[in-house]
Amino acid sequence: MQKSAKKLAFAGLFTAAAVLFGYVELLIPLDFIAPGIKLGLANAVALYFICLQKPKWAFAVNITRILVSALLFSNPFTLIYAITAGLCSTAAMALAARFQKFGVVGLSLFGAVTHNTVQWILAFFMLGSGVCIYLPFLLLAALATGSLLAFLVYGILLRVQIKF
Amino acid sequence: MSRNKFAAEPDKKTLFTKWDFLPLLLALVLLTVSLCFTFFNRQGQTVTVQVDGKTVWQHSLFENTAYTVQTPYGQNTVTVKNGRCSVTAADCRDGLCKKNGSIFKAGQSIVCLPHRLIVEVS
Repeated sequence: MQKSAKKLAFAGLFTAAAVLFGYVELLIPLDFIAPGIKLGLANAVALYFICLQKPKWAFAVNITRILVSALLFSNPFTLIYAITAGLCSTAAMALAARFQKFGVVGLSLFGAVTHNTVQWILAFFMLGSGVCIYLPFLLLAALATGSLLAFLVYGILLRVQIKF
Repeated sequence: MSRNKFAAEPDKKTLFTKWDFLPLLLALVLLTVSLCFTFFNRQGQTVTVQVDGKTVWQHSLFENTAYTVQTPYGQNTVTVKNGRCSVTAADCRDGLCKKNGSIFKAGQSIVCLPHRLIVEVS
């Protein structure tokens, strides 16, 4: 009983952190590269749990984070993009983590590349072939932000150790 | 510490392994493919007709249509067909815009100098 309450509290804490990260990245616009590019800070918490081999926690935190931030900051239209890409990238990271060979950078890159590619595919089907030219920019952004985030999460992994 | 389920094991989790080159390579391959795609197939989306630098007509390249532009200097008929567009009729003196043929790539244009008309694909 006490243990599950503790788990719930930690889950809430980490989701809150993820939502905050999501808000912070809204304050750093990178739209000059291509529309919709973000730092991916919000994914840090999910990546943290992936690295700890806790994919369930990563999924839970990411889904809740996306739903909450859709309610707070955006509209249902962007929610479709966010939730699909979020689920796909978390799934990709979880699968890669099961393989146990990748480092933090590799896992992060898997997540970032999957996220951006899935969003691009969605945009392709919803907006037409006009979005074609954005894919190279999205991929470059994924490489850059993905590796940056990996360094951040590695730092967090070394410092933040939750005890149950 | 058996209850210490969530404690990170920093020595077991490395920042970078040789396997990390796999997603890196994957992304680079995707990047190259998409770059090639955008550079070799630049199908345009819309056609814009300008007279004297002012846009008078805009249309998707994927809906077949014909439009006659009435400029102060004469008239041109712009035809859009199957993602391409061309000037099919014009009463200008040289008719160069008709000889230009059909265009479809983003950035291509047909110019009719006597009528100060520019047909541009974007």
